Amino acid sequence: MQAIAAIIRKDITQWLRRPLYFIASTLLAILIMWVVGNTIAGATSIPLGLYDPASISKLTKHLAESKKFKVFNYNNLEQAKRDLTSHKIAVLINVLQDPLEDQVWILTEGHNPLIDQQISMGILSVLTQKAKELDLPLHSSELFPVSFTLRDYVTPGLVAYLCYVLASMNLGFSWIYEWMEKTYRQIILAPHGLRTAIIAKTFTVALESSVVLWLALCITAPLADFTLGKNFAGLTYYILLSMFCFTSLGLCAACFLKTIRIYTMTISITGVALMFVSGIVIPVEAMPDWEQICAHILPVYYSADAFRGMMLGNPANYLQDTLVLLGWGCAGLAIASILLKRHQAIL
Amino acid sequence: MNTVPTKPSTPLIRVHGLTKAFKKQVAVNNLTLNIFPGEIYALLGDNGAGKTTTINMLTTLLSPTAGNFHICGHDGVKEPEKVKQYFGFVSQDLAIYQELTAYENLLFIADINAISRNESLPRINQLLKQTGLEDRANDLSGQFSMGMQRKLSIAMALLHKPRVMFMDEPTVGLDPLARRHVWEALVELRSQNVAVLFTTHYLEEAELLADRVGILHLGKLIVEGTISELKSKIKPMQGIEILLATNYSKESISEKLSHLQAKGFGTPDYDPICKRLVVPTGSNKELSEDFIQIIDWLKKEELAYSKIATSGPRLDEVFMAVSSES
Repeated sequence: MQAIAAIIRKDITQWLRRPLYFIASTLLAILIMWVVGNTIAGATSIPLGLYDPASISKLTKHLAESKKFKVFNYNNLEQAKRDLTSHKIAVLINVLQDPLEDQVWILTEGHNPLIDQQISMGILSVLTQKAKELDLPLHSSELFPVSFTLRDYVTPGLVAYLCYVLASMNLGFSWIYEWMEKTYRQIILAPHGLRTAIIAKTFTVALESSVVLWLALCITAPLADFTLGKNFAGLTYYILLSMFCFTSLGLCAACFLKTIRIYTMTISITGVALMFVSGIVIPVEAMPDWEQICAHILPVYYSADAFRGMMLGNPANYLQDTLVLLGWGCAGLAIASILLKRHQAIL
Repeated sequence: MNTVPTKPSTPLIRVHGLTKAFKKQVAVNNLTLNIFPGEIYALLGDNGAGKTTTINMLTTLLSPTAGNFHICGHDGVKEPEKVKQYFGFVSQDLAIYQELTAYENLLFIADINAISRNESLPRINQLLKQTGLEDRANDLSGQFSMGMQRKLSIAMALLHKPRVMFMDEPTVGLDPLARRHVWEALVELRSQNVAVLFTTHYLEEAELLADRVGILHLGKLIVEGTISELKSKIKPMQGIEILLATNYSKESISEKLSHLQAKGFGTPDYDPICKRLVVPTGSNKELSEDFIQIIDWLKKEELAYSKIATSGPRLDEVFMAVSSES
């Protein structure tokens, strides 16, 4: 215990004496949480032109209330079309009054399918939510009405992703730095040093990463307006469990990659791929089949599932999430232990 | 002063048939040696001879392919965790925590070796005093000079009072003063009856400090013994050593050397890099006669010199002779 406490104390002291690193990792977490989260949640003021000279629709009010569009009312259709072509507006809604049937034409510029998709989603949301007021034969409702927004929904996935990023980063500085500085030998040449190091450093990395993540969440939540839920104990539990899982897997990777340069490069590239494959950006249900299989194997998916449950109250399979995260973590640790024992002389 | 200490019967380091084979080569081949308390043993060899691999095996970082070793009577192959408490290790890398103070570094080592605070705190203060780091105890070790960092790394290795010390090129990269401090530490260890095994590329260091020397070549211990025993193996190199004042090429001096040979001396050996000429002395002549003849020859050939003395072979000559024979 004395040895484990000594390594924990030493690692935390080193961490605190490198304030730039602490600040950088917190800023990175805030950046991902805020900027990426807002981007994934979608735009809140897509410029929308509305040509409804007779004011027969109530679209102005409902579109503005959706918080997705900034509505510009036009009296001149040609001017509106010119503005669409010159990207001053992203979409033009042309309300045509006809003796037989009123029509609503939605015009987009056409070169940007991504913005077209955003617009379609936004308009569909307005039409289905406000169908009654708009007197449309269109109805929508949820089986389980929820009170959270899309921004809230995106955040748990980002929290899971940040668990991966922060654990990997801290692990690199905890282990690989010791290998580079050759101070690792001081630890493993002590009796039972390897076992002590694995226990102590797994704890330290998980703790340091969790502190940074909590700090980022507390700073970003009020600014970006997303909810952390009310189950802080559960949230803390899954943060620590996810950190343990990714710390162990990171250590396993570090044993193969050995140098900080290759490790950092590999972790970054893997992180980009993970962001998309694990259902954080695009829902798993909307992915190709093979990607869905990948997503269901990877621990980030289960971490995100648990966080959605804790933060949003969504139904989640906590037992499965816990077992998968624990399983991956223990497997990573077991492989890492074998590799560390084998490579003592060269690390 | 290198004297062979009176050896108690039990060596503190016993190595028998130690072998390490990697996929493509055998790095250490059937190494057997014993090192006794209070003995400094220098393990020499070319790059790639197997010195570091040997140290790695003896410090339990690498498992041997065959053979065994005992440290203080405990089997290092079967009980690697147990032997760790008996040895200290100073590697050629400094291996100190730059973000911690000298005191914190030592305290960390004490804690990971499970030394109680009652024992470790006085010991830390003692070591800081011995190494002259007392005044810098609370400074970050990253701010120390290389010599001070080396002193700290030695102090860290000595904290748990090991009976055996392994040092892998401990003076590499140090200035002469810092090297001297390391030598003083080694001599101090000898006086404390610690068995020391160190590797070095500085042969004069081995000559100065070691009680016994072993030379590794391609993983095998090709020769072992005291300095005088090793030097006696290359008798022909004994003679009169002259340190020339000017650098001559071998070609420019060869004719002059032939004149010396004509006087009955053996084939002189000239090292243009060291400007060192060794003239083998004849066994039938008085040494004083040889001196007079050589000085006359130097005057006649107008060769300026800064030193002339009798010499035995140096360790580097032994090393080169033995390595080339193998």
